Amino acid sequence: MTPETLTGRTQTRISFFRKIPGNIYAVVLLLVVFRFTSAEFLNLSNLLNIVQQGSILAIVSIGSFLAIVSHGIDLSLGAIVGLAGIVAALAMEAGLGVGPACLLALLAGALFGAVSGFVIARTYINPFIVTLGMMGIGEGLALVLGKGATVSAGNPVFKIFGGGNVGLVPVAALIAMGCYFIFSFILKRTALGTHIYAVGGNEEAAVLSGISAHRVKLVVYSFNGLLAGLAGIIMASRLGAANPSQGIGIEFDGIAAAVVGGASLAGGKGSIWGALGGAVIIAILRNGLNMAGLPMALQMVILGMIIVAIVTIDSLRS
Amino acid sequence: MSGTEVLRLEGIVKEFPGVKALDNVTFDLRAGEVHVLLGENGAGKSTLMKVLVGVYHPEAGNIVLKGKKVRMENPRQAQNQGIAIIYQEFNLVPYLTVAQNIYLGREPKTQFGLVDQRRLKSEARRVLDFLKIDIDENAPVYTLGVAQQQLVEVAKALSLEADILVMDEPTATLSEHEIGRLFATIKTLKTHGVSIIYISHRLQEIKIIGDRVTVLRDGRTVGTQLVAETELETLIQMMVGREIVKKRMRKTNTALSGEALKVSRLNRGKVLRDINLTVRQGEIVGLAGLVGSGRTELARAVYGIDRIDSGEIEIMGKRIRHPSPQQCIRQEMGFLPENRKEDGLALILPLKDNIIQASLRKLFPSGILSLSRERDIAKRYVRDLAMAAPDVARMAKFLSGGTQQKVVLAKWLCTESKMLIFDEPTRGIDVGAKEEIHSLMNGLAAKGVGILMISSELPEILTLSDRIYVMREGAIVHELDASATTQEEIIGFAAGKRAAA
Repeated sequence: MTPETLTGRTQTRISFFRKIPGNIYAVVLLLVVFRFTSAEFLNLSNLLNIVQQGSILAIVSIGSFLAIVSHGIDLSLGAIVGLAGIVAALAMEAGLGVGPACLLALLAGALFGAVSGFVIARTYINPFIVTLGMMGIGEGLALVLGKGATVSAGNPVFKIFGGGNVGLVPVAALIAMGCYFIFSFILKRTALGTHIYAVGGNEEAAVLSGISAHRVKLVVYSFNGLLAGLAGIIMASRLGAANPSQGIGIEFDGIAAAVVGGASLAGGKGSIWGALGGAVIIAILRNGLNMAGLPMALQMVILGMIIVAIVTIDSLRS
Repeated sequence: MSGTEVLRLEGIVKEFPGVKALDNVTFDLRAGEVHVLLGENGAGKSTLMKVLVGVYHPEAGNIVLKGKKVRMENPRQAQNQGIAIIYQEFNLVPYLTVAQNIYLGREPKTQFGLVDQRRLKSEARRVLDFLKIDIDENAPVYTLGVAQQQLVEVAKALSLEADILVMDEPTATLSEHEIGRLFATIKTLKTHGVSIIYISHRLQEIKIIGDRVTVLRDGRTVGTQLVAETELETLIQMMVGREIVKKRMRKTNTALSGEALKVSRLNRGKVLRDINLTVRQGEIVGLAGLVGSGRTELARAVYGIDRIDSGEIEIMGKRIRHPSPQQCIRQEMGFLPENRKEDGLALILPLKDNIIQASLRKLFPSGILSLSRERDIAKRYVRDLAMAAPDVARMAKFLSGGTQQKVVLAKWLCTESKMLIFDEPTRGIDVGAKEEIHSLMNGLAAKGVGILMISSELPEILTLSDRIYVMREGAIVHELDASATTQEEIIGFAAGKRAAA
């Protein structure tokens, strides 16, 4: 064997390992570690629990991911999760069927996102500030609509979204996977998807190529609102009641999931499946730390450190 | 090349407040030729091209495209008329593939309205093959080198069915080998009747790639020549003009003492190669060279902004082991960057804060500021440098370019620097303020400050410097005595007409 073929082989081997996203390693490592910190961690019922909790975050993460890829950010997602849950619960309380109530909640979410998108596209105000404002508006609106209290949503059909199973698989997980396939298709196969990456990667080049950055941003934030609305319905369904503040903070987990999954905050870069990986990691972390019996405060500290560590390792690898 | 005329610019006049950027410029282009547009920095080359593609609208003159008088409203319209321009800064989206970039905004669709991936790739491949460009159409653009990205821009322009292609300094950042590939592509384009306007001030290239050359100087057309029949000397003459060089402003300081700055064997990738230079106390040393020759990169490396691979830097006789701006300031060296607005000033801070910004430690060792002292110091500099500012609390962004430059200068005077690097000290500054800055620099040298001055204006280099280093392609190719050289000689070295000494 000549030296040349030798080096050629080593190189392919290295690039093979590099091709595996870092977060796959992280998932395996976490599963192993938590296996030892808690005896019940790898039980089927707990794993299904992780999947169910993780599904809601996974759906929100698509929204965070879309915003980040278009070189923006969406802080209003958690507020929309709360708002949509309240809208669905109130609609059912007022006598609407499950279907119309859910449609109304999705519409409310999409409209709310569209407002953010419209302002961001038209004013050039930083998305951070626009969605921060919308976050306050959404949380306030949810409290006003729900009169500051939890609204019960005990309809047995409604309960299916968050609590039902098909065989062993939670319905929520099926919905989440459906969302991932749909949005993966949009990003990869439609012109809109290319344009979202283009606007995020180099807005000027996109505009010079005749792409309407306004329209792209409007669509992105409307999608985000729609997805957060869906997450809100599932969350209310799982708890059997809509709490106005049920979504608070989930937007940050969503951002962390997208970034852990390889999306660049500079825009234009990242894969939606990476965001799913990120969401899975965070769901495992939350559950595993909890199962290990650590105090809540310590859980938060460890979660924060691990997220920063994963992103650091990933950036060093590339 | 005796193709038919495809484009004619007649009597173009473009004025900006206070400057006539283009004054009765005439230019024509024939089918399938490479017409080089030659001129020094600021001669009006880029302005003329911006008029052509409708970024600027001329005050007078006509654009005649394929025999028809047209009015270019915007770049999009120019694109629709078959004129594409490749700027020095590319307009590509880094994480999209080559094919996606070429057809960005014009993606081929299937009957269901989805992107037709197969056609997208095959059409991109066709364009690349046509240009004999060996780049994978599926590669993300960020994985490509600069040269390849440029070729992608060419492919994009061609896919727009452009028959007039403007290339603005296309070789500025390319290596020899890459230039060869670009030239091969240009030749392919020519044989298919595409006309190219090639902006450059690299003389050697003109001989290789150009058919005709038009020289601009100070916004006027000096003349158009057939490249094959023109000597390089003639072109240099045309570029520089026969204007009498202003008398040197300074007498060389005879009482030069120690070395303020000494750089030995400095290397940084391909950008800076084996740089040796010295600046003595009380001396003004000019750094001449074309855009992209590595002058600013040298300044940034010496000042510790960019990392160096190897080499030694001594400031005031003291070796700087790990150059960084903090280290340099501590050793009393200051840097006035080319982009005042971006790198030199805090635009939204008051003038006084800008002036004391680099001297806080020196002025207030306790770390607690005295606002009255701050104001007094700032007032002194406003008076000494005759700044046109109503008061010291004025926000920097509301000052004129000349006054802004004085603020940056005051910042370094305030640190009592012994060594200063000026990068294009008078770019974009009106004539009066320019003279003032020059005399301030002279005054500093007389007080024993060492000055390294980067400038693209040869008269400035010639009138102000004691010695001149000429840079080309990241290396210092020649050292000249300012009192015994000419603009022609400097350009000759900078453009590589003469062998490196």
